[in-house]
Amino acid sequence: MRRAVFVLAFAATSALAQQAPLYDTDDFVDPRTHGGALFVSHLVAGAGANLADDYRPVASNGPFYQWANSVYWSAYQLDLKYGRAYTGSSAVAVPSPGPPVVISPAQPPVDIVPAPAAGTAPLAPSSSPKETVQFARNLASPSGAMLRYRLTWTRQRFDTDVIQPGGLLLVRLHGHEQTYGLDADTHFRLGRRDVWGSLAFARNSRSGTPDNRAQNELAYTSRFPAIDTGTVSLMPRFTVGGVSGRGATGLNVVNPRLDFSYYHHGTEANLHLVYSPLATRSGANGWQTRHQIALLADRALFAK
Amino acid sequence: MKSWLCALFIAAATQLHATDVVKVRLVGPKGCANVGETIRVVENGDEQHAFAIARDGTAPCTWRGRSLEPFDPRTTVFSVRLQGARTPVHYADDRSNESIAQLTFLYAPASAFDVGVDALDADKQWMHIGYVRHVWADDRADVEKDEHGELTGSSLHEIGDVNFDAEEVELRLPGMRSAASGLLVNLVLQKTTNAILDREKIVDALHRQDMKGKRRSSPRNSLPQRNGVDDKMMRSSPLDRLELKRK
Repeated sequence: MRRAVFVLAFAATSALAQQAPLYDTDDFVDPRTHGGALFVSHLVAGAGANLADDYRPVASNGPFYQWANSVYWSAYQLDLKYGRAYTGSSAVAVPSPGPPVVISPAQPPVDIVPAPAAGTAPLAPSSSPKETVQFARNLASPSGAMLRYRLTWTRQRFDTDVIQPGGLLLVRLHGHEQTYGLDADTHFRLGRRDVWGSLAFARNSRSGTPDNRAQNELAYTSRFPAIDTGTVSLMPRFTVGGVSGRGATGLNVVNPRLDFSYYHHGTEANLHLVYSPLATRSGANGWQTRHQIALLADRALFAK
Repeated sequence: MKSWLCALFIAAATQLHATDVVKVRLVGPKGCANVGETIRVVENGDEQHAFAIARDGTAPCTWRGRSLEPFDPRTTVFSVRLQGARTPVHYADDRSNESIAQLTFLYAPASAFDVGVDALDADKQWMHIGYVRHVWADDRADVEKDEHGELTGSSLHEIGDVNFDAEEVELRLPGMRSAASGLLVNLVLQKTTNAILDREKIVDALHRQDMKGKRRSSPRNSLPQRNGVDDKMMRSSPLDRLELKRK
């Protein structure tokens, strides 16, 4: 019965966890530790290879940044995040009728690749700024664990140019992508051991492109305690989930994440080396693994 | 009038179940020869008002005495400090016995040690510092319980009979909000017997606790928590230096 409910949760919701970008700060302030309101402005910058965006491969390697402004008051948290990954354009062939090729020439050079076929993972949108608004409420569980419940709305605008062979611009499409998500911290005890995690639901859809797609995501992330190795800390996480719209139902995402971090007292910055192999399964290609790796720095610019 | 009578009735009913006699029996394969003539009993997690009971000459490995105030044996929990060992937290063996709280504990000699705590301000003056001992429940008879105490200028700056396998010890730092998780001594003294922490190292230690999920929230590497809250708290705290020693 329990198994059936689990399978149903994956299949029937056809749903739901927005995968936060590898460089998302995932900031948290325990409301029990501060009084009054707290405002923190925060910058993350770095570069990565083989990155993915919402479980979809991006076109190329490149730098990224994210500027996050967060207000914490009482048990609430409001985040406004603005960021961009310079990871090139995902060129998509128009299915029919024939010759025109859709590319986004705004970020040359462009590698033209065929449009992903049905039953495969879609490509991430072209590189453009991404805006995120998050609203969270923290609630203490009966065991005293502080759990965060967070709503996320992300919007990304991007242009797609339809170009005829030979380079003639036919039309510029103004598309956008939106993601609505909800994630909730989870906690239970196994003997003396705390088991922390988060369950996330999201729906991602894009319009105004020749390859409009939507996907629903549901994922559980287990958050393991950090391992201290002297001055460097290792924070492991493990995500499993299901993403719709790629011809493979049920569990089709497995995503461990190893985050080595070092806090530099002089600059008050956290340096991270993140390795996160993302294994996804599609109906056409079966399991495929993308070895995401990123080097980034993370610093609070202002805290008041 | 009705409420007054009601309160009187409740008070009288409580008194009916009150006693102040405590009897502790230690069992275990290694006997109890190392245990002193008096042992200290902590009632309902109030370590500040622990009381001593003396060895009972009429029975082996048994101590008997009176608490500071009468208590209700049906609802009161106890643990014992044995100078070199501590016990878990228990209810009385027979909670229906209203005349005495008889407690039986398994004794494991040399399983605990004292932790010296020196909290100093910028003028090297000793500071009051509170602590919480979160005692685990491993057995059906055990009760998971927070025990509270305070190290004051006039007291010995030691937390006695600490057993890291049985409990987590948190220090309530000056300036810390009452509901916040304290500094976990277990983690600080995990790899060393003597730790000297200035403000920056205290913030470091709290941040490591965050990353290990030991502050009653999910493991996270959050700079707003570190630089916006913990660092700010320590800058405004009179605490300048903390020395922890495993004795």
